[in-house]
Amino acid sequence: MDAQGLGKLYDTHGRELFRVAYRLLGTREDAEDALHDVFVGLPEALEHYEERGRLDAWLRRITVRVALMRLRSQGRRREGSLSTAAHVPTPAGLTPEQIELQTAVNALPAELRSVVVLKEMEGYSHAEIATLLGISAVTSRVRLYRAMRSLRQRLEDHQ
Amino acid sequence: MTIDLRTKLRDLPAPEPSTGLHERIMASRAAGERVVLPVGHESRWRVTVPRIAAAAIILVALAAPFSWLIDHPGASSEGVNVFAGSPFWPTAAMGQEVSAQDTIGRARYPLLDKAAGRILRIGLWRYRATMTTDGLVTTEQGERTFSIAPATVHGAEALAIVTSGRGRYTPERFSDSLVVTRDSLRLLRRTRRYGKNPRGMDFPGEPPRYLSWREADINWVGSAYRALFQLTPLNDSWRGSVYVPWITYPDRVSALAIDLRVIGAERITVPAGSYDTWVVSVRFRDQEARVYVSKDRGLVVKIAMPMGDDAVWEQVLTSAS
Repeated sequence: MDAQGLGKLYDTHGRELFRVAYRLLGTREDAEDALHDVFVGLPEALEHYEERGRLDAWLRRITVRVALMRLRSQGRRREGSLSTAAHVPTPAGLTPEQIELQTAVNALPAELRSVVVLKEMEGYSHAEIATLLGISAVTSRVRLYRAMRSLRQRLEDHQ
Repeated sequence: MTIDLRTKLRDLPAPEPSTGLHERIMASRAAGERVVLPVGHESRWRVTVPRIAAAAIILVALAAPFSWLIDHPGASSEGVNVFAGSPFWPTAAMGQEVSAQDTIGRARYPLLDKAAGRILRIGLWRYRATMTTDGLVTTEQGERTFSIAPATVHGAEALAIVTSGRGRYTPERFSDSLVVTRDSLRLLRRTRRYGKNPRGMDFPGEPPRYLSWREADINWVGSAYRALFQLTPLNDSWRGSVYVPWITYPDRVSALAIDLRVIGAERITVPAGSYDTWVVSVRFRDQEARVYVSKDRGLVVKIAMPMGDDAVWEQVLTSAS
């Protein structure tokens, strides 16, 4: 694949993939680093694309995996800074309610945030989440329940 | 409320990537940077293979190709470098370079080369291996012995660096021995014994092979990394990476990035005593182990590797002499 082809793929899919990475990682910088890695590795990775499904879904899965790998590598550093996660900058143009919700999502522990993002924001099934995260579908359901309960509680406390 | 919350989550907007990201990607490609992406096998492996069996699989995988090399008709050592029981040494690992075909992950830190020091301590150290859950020992995993002893090879002074033991998944005693020259730590011989059949390999003088981080074993049985910590002065900012061979299929060896970094200092107490240690994070793929290295002598005092949500595989020093 030449540079032009890669550029075209970026123009077509980059924005959506960035959104996925951003939702999982929580910061623009981390999301851009993840997206950078995805597209730098894409020409060689496409040799493994078997064309059995949609290309955009395949790209999204790879982006999710790259973001999750980055999240895991940051996991222990985040443990000491969860209290500051709520202060991660939020994108401009959000309503106060959206800012509050984004802050609440960012404040979730990484293992709960991943499930919320993948299930409620990206539309993956629990079976797909289980494969992506290396957990069981039951664990995925339990984590989602805990995450939603935590979000509701946090939003109610701020009302 | 729940339905409303789900809708709000789905509708949360995300920012746009910065305009410079596209150029940054193209510049990286043009500069030759490559990334190996997880295209589908990794998480499936994680789901289907219990972590506790991973160490056993590593041991078997490392032993099996070596046996194939020795027994296969027509096998030749020409063009094949054998170390750590892994033939078909991938070019990337040997040259410490990233290859799209056979490299898993990228090194995060500057690549480690040779061991810094030349002095290894003669001694015998015993370890107890366990599986703990919530700090309680749930399974005994056997004992390990690490020793460095003087030896003589063809009249020259040498050192024999040996790890041996018996484990839960290796009921017959295993051993892993390196023989190095005493002055330069050049490799002379390696012998591995898993089960009844020992396998040995002599290293020719050219090209010279030295005990180094570049050729450290990737599992916690091997001798090399314990000796290497004795030879590597650590500090609170020490970090480095290596590519080591990783068996991905029976006939395929990839290069795996291992990232090491001092993440703190801790005084710990083990059966052999209390030690002020550097805590070294050792990351490979999506796993991380912690190695506690005594500050005074570079002694591996403890190894801890999480094996699940709350289980930890540990080795602790029980005696030192």
